[in-house]
Amino acid sequence: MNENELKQLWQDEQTAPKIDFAVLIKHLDKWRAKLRKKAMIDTWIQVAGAGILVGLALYNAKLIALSVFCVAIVIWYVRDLRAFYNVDDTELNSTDLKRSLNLKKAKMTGYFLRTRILMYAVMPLSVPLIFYAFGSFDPPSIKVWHWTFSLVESLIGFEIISIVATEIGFALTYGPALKELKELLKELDSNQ
Amino acid sequence: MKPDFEKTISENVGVLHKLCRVYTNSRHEYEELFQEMLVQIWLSIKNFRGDAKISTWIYQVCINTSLSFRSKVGRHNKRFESLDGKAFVLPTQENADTGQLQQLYSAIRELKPIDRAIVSLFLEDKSYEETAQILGISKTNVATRLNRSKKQLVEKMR
Repeated sequence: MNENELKQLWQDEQTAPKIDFAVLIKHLDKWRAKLRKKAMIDTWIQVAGAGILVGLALYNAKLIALSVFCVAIVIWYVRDLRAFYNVDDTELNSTDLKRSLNLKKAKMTGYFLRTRILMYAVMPLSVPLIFYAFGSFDPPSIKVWHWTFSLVESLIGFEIISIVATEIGFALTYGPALKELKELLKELDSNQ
Repeated sequence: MKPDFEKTISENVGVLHKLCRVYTNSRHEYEELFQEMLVQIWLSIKNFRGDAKISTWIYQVCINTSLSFRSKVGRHNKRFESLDGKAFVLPTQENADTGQLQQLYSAIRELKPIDRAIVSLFLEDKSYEETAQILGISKTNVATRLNRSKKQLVEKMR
């Protein structure tokens, strides 16, 4: 077959799904209402979490710094999470393919960076802070279960666990998607 | 004036159908992708500014959705209960397809994801310029890739 015959064959196909728009729009509206309700519940859970932290801070003065720290970290980390999951974000789809893929890649890279900072730097640091807040901070040793580890050993241990867990998590979940995005972009750029 | 969702879909449902066939390998995947396209158009139509033709915009949305759907990110974002049988009925024409049409779809599905989009746009008689605009790449890139893909297609359709 030549090119024109291929075009003819393609354009002659006239079948397509039959859509009941009344039912479709009803479902879409219902879905959006459900999403909004979920977003509201998420917000209330965050407010309640912050309230509990403030309550603890009032109960124990040592927890004030930790509470402020935790609230700041949560806000910093989850701020862009909704956009990353593209819950109600449609801008990506009104741009050309290459820009859309670049935006998705930037969002994923940003999310990875935030998670890495949180897991590599903040998590191990939060350990001595928590021990301090509960009055168990006794450098140079901290008791964990029935063993005694030095502060340095504990931090190194938490650091290694954080790095390994984060990297395995990425490799299993988002790594392949990011790789695919990069390949698509590379493919679009070739022959440019 | 913003385009009407129902009218836009009715006029372009063939585009959605063909891209679904090009980017999926089973009826179940087809159903998921078709639904995702409807959702994306419904959400995005308010952002349509009329800078391009509505058909160009529909291609942008549907190709973006297809490529996202292929990746794990698209699958991870599954957020919508299945509507098949309620809001739309899938065509049963596949069995009635001519052998040649099935062969054409199979040949396109063997191409790289980007090339599938370029070939689909070529078969729809879109110009190089419009294809380049939809994908955000140069006309030279479109021409080079299309030439390569056409050779493969013609070879497979012999």
